[in-house]
Amino acid sequence: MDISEFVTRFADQFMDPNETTFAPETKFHELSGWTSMTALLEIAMIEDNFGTTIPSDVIRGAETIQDLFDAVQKSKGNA
Amino acid sequence: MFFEKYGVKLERLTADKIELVRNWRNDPKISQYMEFRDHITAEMQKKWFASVNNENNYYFIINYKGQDVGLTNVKDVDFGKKTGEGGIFIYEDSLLNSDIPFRVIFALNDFCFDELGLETMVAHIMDDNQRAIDFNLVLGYKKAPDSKGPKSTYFLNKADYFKCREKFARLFK
Repeated sequence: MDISEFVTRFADQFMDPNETTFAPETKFHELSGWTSMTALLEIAMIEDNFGTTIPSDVIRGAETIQDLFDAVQKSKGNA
Repeated sequence: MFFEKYGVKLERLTADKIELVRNWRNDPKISQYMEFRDHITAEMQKKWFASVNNENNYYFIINYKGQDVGLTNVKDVDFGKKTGEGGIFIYEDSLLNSDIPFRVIFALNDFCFDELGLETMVAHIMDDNQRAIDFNLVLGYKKAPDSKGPKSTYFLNKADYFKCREKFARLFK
């Protein structure tokens, strides 16, 4: 999966994916739709698509969607 | 007494921590979501603790990575009807929009269904608190058909919760 597809799937977890234009540089913690529920759904999305479960610290430490994508790749050993 | 699961530790509230809880509870960032929003005095807090420190109410300090970060509870436990009402607040801002609140509620629900033997959890949620509504719907809660605002009643039965747990608990490593 490339970053473009990751951004699309990331946006799909939001109750209102139209609240912003999602991009790799989007600072997702600042979005009004970012909640504990979204965080949980993103962890599930990553597990489903990458077969890896990321710790909550990784999500909290990622500033942008690109950061999260990079962290997922790293956890899979693909970086 | 404590209950530890999904990376969080729930420590039964004791008298030495009720001032910590009072300070959290009096903070407007927490009290704004509560039905009772007046300032709570130390005396009021002692009376409250005396009234809930029993087998029908379980208040837990949430401990995450060695830090006390919030409070969760099941109150008004009816062992005859096998029901109880859950609640949670996270005081530590950095954990609010993370999976930690879910870890806490999964731990609390496991305590209620597996340890206390309850069959149904109840929640009363203000209709304008969309985040809380979404949170509870993901957990498997269903709105009572006859429920009327501004505060609606939601129920979570054991079977629906276990389905939800099967879906998400695997993520809590």
